[in-house]
Amino acid sequence: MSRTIVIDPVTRLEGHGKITLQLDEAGVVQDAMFHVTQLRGFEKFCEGRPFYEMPNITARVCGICPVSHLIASSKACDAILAVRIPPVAANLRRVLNLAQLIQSHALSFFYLSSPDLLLGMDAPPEQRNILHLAHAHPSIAADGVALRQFGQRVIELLAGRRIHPGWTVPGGVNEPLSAEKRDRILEMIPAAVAAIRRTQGWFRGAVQKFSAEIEVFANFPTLFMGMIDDRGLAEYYDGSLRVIDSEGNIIAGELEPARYAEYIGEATESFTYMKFPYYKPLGYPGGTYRVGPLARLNLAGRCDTPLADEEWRAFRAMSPRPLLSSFHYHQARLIEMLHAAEKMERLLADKEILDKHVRATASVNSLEGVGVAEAPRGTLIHHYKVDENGLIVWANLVIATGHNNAAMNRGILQTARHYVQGDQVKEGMLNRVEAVVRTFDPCLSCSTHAMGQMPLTVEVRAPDGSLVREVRRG
Amino acid sequence: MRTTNAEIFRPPAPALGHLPKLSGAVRVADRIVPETADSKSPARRAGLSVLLACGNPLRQDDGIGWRIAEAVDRMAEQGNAEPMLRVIAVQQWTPELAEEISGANLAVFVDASAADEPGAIRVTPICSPASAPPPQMRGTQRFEVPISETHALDPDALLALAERICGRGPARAFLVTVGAESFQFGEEMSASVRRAVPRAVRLVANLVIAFCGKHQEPGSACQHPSPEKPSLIHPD
Repeated sequence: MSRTIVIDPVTRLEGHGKITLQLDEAGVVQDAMFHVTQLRGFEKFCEGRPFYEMPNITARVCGICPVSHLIASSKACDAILAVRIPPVAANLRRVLNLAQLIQSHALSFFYLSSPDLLLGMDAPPEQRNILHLAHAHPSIAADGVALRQFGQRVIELLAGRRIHPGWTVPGGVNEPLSAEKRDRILEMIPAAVAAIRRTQGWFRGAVQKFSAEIEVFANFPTLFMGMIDDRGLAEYYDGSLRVIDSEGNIIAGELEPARYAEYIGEATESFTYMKFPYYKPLGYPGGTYRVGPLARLNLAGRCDTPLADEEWRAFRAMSPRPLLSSFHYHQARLIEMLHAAEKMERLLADKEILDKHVRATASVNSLEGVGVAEAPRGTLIHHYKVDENGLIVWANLVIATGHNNAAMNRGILQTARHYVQGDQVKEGMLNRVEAVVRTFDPCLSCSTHAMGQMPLTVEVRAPDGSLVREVRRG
Repeated sequence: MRTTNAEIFRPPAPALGHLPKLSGAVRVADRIVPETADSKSPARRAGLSVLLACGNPLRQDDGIGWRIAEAVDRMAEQGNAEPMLRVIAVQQWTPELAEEISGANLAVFVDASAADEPGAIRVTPICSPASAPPPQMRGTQRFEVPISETHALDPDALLALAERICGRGPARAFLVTVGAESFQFGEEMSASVRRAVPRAVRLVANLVIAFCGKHQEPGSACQHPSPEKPSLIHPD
């Protein structure tokens, strides 16, 4: 008799999700599904709102990644204004985006995943958390807390508050940076860099114990997509998009982000509210790609800061091809944090960063705008259409976690097939199934944006379980 | 929002006179206030009281912690002394707050309670010796074992974290909760909870005044807690 294992809730993720494993008569995993069980509906209830409200509205998609939405949304609004924002405003947004990357990566790496890495995948589940980590490895936990706090403090200094700041606005930012705030951020950077370096040091030793997990944690060929600058180096705020295959071949070199709809399709499945974006030329699911830290470091020429470049070279030297196992997202996050701290220092060291001209003003000059930036988890796309009064008539958000959806589902199946067999299901096995999802650091609050497209079935059943009525949509 | 609580005690309500003036405070907002350059120094922290309110002011009575924090902050603004109170209002108590309470003279956590009758005020001393094993985190049950959440900590967990990663927690810590009636969408609190606000504000203010500047060595509160036991003040 076939059997179903449900992992609900999936823990140590942003948001709420559920995993279903379908076993056959022999107890072998036949299928795996990652269900995102929330529906947000931002695209619909934004309709009718003035476009300039969108940065603040869409930032409410998430309490972890509000800055990412703020930036992508502001860029989409810049496009509606059809202005070129002051260069200093772009660089201030860059610093903010890098601070967001550090605080989010610190949360993912230290709070969510390091209990597995340091206490073990088979540790008692009630111990796999930051408190027990602090008990067993206080200095490591302290570095994690300090790094998250560093990112949050920079966001707060720049934008006024840590969660849902409103500093980034259509046309730029609404207040220039003061010398005092700049100096305070610069003072904090060396300690942050030191904490990241210490973390990289112990991770290099710890990762040796996870060769089995590396082998089966979403370790398969896919495409990778991410942003690059005009030199082909890692870029997080503004650039073109590059797509490479699993051999490292560049199959699309300089894609214009605003034209994403020409090369990214969005499929839907009946078991989840999360969309399945794919690379259109290869169809669905052949065009499955991954985004985020691993993708960015696989496809970029290098990072463009000295310490991060040194780490990047060692990272890429592990394989002549792109690194395919999603376990490597962890290490990629550490390298990106280092790069972010270095890049932040470089941007703030430029005296132009204190320039007072930080906002361009205009009215509606385009009825459509697309804003794309690299969020911590990957490429984030905001696309709006407005009427002549600037009221939103249509919106679409393509979220980093969504880009990784197909790969996550496939990764769960791969890991489950390896670890889950028959009646011998132990917590540690299921934790590995969850852990493969955690490598992607999905943000489920951000990812549910399929309203109006999602196939939906409503079943009405009698108390005896018989089907009375079924309504289908999509 | 608290969903569990210790055994209920019924001592007499504390004497509540006129609203006292507190020493200066930083402003409360839906954010953690910026620290000043010297606010991390041991001497500064030794005399510091920290009020940490938790809740969602858009979910009716869940915002009680914020209301109390705002009122205490307004009282503190009327004071003229140098800043000795730091007011922090957030939707969840997260691990980063460990540093905020580390080495402080007093930490007062304020939250709504789903367990107590609406409007009832409970004061619970919190003690988390550094030698104790880590407390259980708030979480859910799965496969008959507790699964921890990561974004939200209870006060005792935050104290333990402060002691482990910062080397010291606050000298004294209390959890003040107000029984809530409704957690529905809305900014309007229910009448029973609204009526409890002035008394809860005075109680928190009295705690701050009582321990303001009286620096204690970390852990001393464990031997000499005051109030001695959890106390519950029923609504009028």
